[in-house]
Amino acid sequence: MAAPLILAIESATSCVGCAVGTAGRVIASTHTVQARRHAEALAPQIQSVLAEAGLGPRDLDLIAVDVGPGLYTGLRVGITTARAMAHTLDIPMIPVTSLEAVAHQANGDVTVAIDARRSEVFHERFIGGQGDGPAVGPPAELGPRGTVVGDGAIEYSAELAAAGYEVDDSVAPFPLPESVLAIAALRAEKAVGPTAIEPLYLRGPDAVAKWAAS
Amino acid sequence: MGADVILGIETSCDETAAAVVARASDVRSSVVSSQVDIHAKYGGVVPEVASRAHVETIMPVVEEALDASGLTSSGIDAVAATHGPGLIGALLVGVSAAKAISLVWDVPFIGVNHLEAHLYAAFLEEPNLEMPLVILLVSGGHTMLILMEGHLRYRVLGHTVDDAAGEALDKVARVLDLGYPGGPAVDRLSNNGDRDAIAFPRAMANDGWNFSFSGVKTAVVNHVRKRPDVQIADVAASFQEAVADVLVMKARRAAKEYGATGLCLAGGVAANSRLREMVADAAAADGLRAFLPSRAMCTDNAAMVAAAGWWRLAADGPSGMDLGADPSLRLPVD
Ligand SMILES: [Zn+2]
Repeated sequence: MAAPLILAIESATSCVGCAVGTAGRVIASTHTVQARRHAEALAPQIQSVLAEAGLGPRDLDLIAVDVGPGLYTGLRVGITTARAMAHTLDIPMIPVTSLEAVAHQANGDVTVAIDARRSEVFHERFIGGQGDGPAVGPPAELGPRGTVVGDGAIEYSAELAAAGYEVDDSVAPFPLPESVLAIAALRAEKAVGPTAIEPLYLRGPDAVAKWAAS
Repeated sequence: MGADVILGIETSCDETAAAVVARASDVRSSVVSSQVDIHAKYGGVVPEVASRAHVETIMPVVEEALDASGLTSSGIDAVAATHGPGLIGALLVGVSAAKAISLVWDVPFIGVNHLEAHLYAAFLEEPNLEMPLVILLVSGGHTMLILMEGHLRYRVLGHTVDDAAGEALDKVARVLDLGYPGGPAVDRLSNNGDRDAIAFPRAMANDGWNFSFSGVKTAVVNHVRKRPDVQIADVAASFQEAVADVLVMKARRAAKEYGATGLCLAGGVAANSRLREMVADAAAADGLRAFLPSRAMCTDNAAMVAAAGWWRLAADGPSGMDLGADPSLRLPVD
């Protein structure tokens, strides 16, 4: 059987984009960094990427999506779009985290820090490509010292440097759709149904509600 | 004409809804999943909680609406979703789902104004409603006096200058400790009370087309504070009477001034039994037609979105796939 054709959707941070391709091959991709314009950008991007690849939605075998952690609004746009497409096409999905995607963009062992607003970052440490699990907390408390990458690392670079971390800003700081596609291609056999895909918020809505009210 | 059957999607506040409607009047299915129980513990709609619930519920609700319609994807000609006004995070879920579905099915996508959708609720049950028509659009977020001159042609004659009617009902329900949601609770309790017991103020009654409900709400708070032993059923009934009285008084006057042939209710507060009774009585007295949509069509639903979407698609064509959500979208007026 030919390698499955995957549409990867990325909208967990200020970067929104998509890519279509198979294992080891990106046929077409696009992204833009435009905070708070996820809903406006994503659907036209999917249309143009499919058109550029000379494909229609019904050619797709799998939908991969970045499930976060990240901007709640961005996540909801990406996940809802991905789920609605998969549901309507009756094809399975593969969840990829934003932290895995950024780690994929780095070489070697890194801690990924994604801006979580409210003076916190979403973070995870990757050793030999293996993550120790996503968490949220203050930027100076990322565990063992080492190299930190991601938009959260850049946002809080002064604090991280003061705490003894080394910020590497040469790594693309936002998760990119091509990375989501590459990770998903490795996991193609682990695809799940659309209802199994859930946003990785890492914070309860109660905390958000109280914070918004205060 | 091209688009006949429309899949409507509504996620502007705390209801996740989908419906299949043919020619803006034939409701094939209408599914509403309410989050009211989820928000009850907060005493009001929490936007982040609402957005999260919409993400979980939207596709199951769409699937249920399609199943219930007896149609398959090939029978749907366009997908319409509310894109404002409402809670931004909630709206984006419906807009994103609708665009994705229209992309896969290769049918037009239509962004619908939630207020326009409420106005079209009446036409679902009465497709040949005559215009011009005076419509009271009353909900938790809106209180508007509208003259509908023809399809997609409106004039907003007046609106609230402070609280929406539904907001005032919710606040008074909280003061009287009636629980959430407040509107239906006030309505129920009022049945056991004397609506003439307390003369609450009718703000701006003789003054233009606008409304103000913060004064009557404050009057209720003060009344209850001064008389802790008051019959709360009397307070509820008298308060509800004051609110409905001003609404109907102005709607009647507007119908006369603009030569409307009927009075119509729209929005969640249109489910209020005393308001419905007063509109019916006023119409009978003035020789007007009264149109009171069923309770299910007054509160947020997707059938009204599909109906408004049908009219908009016919008039303006599809929306762009780059359409976003606009939390403060206004009713398009000439
Ligand atoms: Zn509404």
